[in-house]
Amino acid sequence: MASKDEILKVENLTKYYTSGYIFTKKVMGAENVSFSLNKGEVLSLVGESGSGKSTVANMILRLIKPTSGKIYLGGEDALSFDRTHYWRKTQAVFQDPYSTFNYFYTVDKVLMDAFYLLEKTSSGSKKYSKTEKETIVRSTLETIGMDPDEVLGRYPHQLSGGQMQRLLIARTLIIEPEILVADEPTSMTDASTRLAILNELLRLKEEKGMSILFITHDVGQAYYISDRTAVMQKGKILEMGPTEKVFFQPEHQYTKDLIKSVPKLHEKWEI
Amino acid sequence: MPGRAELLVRNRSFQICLFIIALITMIGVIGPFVILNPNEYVGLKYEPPSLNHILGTDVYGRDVFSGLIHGIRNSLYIGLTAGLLAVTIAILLGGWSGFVGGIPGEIINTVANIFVVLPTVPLLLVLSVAFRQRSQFLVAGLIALLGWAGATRSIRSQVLSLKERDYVNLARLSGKSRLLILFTEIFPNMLSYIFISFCAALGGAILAEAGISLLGLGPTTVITLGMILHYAVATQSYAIGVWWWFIPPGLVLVIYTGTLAVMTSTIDSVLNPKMRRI
Amino acid sequence: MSKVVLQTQDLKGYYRGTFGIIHAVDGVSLTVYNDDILGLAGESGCGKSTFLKLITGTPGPLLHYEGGKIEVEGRDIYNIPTEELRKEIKCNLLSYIPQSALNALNPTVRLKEFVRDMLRERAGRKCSADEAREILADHFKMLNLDKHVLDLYPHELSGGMRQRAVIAISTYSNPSLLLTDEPTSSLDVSSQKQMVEMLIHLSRTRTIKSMIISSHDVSMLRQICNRFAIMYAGKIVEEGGTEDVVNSPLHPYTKLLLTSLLPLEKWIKHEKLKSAGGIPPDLRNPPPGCRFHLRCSQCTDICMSEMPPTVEKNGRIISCWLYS
Repeated sequence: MASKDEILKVENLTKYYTSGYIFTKKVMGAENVSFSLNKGEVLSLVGESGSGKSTVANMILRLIKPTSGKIYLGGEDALSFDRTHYWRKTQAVFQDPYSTFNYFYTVDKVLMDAFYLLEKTSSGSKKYSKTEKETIVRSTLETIGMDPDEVLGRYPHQLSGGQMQRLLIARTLIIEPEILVADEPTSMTDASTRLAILNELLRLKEEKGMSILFITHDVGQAYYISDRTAVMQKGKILEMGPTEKVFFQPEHQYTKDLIKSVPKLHEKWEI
Repeated sequence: MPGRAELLVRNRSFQICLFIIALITMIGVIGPFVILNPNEYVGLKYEPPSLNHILGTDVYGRDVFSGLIHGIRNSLYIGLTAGLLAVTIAILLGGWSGFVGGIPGEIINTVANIFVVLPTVPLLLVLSVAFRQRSQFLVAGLIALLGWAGATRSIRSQVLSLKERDYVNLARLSGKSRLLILFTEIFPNMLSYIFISFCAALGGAILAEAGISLLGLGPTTVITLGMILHYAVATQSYAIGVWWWFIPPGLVLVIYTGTLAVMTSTIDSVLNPKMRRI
Repeated sequence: MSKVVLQTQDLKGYYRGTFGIIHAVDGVSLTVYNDDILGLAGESGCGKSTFLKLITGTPGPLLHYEGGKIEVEGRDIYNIPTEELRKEIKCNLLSYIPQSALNALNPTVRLKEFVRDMLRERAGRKCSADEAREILADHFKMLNLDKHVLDLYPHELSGGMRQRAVIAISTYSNPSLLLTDEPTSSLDVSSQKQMVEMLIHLSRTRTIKSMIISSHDVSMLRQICNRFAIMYAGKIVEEGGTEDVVNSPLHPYTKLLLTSLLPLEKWIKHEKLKSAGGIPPDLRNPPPGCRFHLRCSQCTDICMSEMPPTVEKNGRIISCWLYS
């Protein structure tokens, strides 16, 4: 059961990996993770490395199968959707731009692939002509403030990490999914582009009504961008609620320790 | 790939290797159209090299040089066929097993692991004996049958590692089927690797053929470098000192496979990003 | 007047290779006194790691010292014989901890064996691995580390522990100047705080006389440092006391850097922050004039053609046409 506003609901999502055929060892990726994402909302999953946040993201993206638990997209079981149609509604921006772009091709391919998805999932077998695709790509790049001639036709190694991440946002704009899973999109870019990317994500939320699942280890960024936050550790959600409350009136001891260990710019620690 | 292909082409070592290989291959391809019949009796037996016969004659009075040219072509033909067959099987099976995995993938991997351990030459000999008449194709097929496993395993492992890259995930999120991803995302990044596997298979196949031919179990319908060596050994010509008969084929084999090995090593050092020196 | 530990003047260091010449450090003048903990802040590619490498005297495979004065405790390190550089400077005066030092430990060797080798090379002291551990025991205790950490293999320790152990081992000989490059960037948040505490402790107990810490994490730096130097595209754009620089930044780039950092403070959400477009310039072809002019909202004509002079104003050093 999901309320009208819930666009994504995750119930008791668990993933563990077993290794070894005789003496099996269980490694917990995520344990009983439950949360919901409302329409037009940004929810942050905050945790250190190994906390399971990327595992949850990959399960929501249907890139890995959960060991148990359920995912509901707009009230319906996610598994009831054919995969391609599911991906029309759920897209992602990954952490490492140099791994997300195949260096064999120019960066244009990633944008053209967006049309592949659109064509495949269109109800009337719509086909985009080359000029149509080009026009859409150019105008999309211009809306996010990029000069198309500066980036189109280039190879990944000729662009900066920040530019590539913004190209991924352009791709998202072309597909216009309902949910965007942003898995640490700024951890490999420099500080100034970081802000630009976060502002772009906020624009996606405000102008297109996209719901964003923002995954990060940086509490400052989570605070800047999200409405609600969930704090994860060792595969479990420890605390969840409105961002302001989670960060400034934390209840769980782990959250309290986490906040205390983050250096502030205008405050000096007592040591 | 842009840029790096240029680097390769300009590399001195690569140019020399390529030249040698192309030269020998050309001789093998064009030569037999010029010199038509290597089996003609053209002179007295064991004539040393002279202006008439560049490499002299063998025990039957046949021109050694003609035999060498035909031998080159047939050896290369068998090596190439076996190499191509082995690499095609490796791409299909290795690619599938690595990318799709699952139970069929495991089965392919286990079978490949078994084949890799099999003793190639003894098995080749046994299989060859089973056939009275052996064509080039048959020999090439047998060699590929025993050699596909090595290439399959290397391609599989490379595919396994590339599978984890985010561009594969992004392609899946764009709705591309697994087969499409394998051929459009993964294999292009493996081109140099595939080529190197092919060169290794080619070199190995040529030597494998030479090995069984030396023992008299090579193709029965044509002459190959290994067959020349076989006759030379069988008639004990090395004891008599007829060097112009048994040294050239061996030399060609060594030069060809050796240069092939150096070339693959050069390609690897230029194109493999981990080994690049700035 | 405090003693000068490090002085550089117009220091230049370039990377040379088939890619061209990268002008990574292009005229950096800096003075570090006794008791200074200097935070060298900037984004990746600004030259801060390169600068530290140049100070060590042996810059590394592609990096070349191209000119400028550099003196460590009065000694010109590029004009002395190699053996003196090794013995005097590197063993006694300087201690350099590169980025990801925690990954540089030999995985097949216990830490105490590593210490034994280090003592033999640096202090000429021959002893067994266990003796080496005892020698370092007090030093470790002072830094809140248990000496039994040395009995373990590197992979048995967490990342944070390894980083702290490396720094503890490197500071045993009480160097005058500790150089550390991104000490916290590969660590978890909780380990970061412990690292900060350790660095502060090192300074308070006078184990080391002065420190240069390079990092992009300004919030972390301000907890430890008493002075800041902000670098951009191979040059220092602003320098001054921590409180001054952090609370009232002068250079446009410093302002940009501080806002794009997103510390966990309420103001970041309430002011809609704007980012400056563009990326740092390609240092193979640095732009004429001020290197920041292409992204600066206050750029004027002279900024585009001439390099601004470095002036001193109320204890702050700034390189910008707005203040000349």
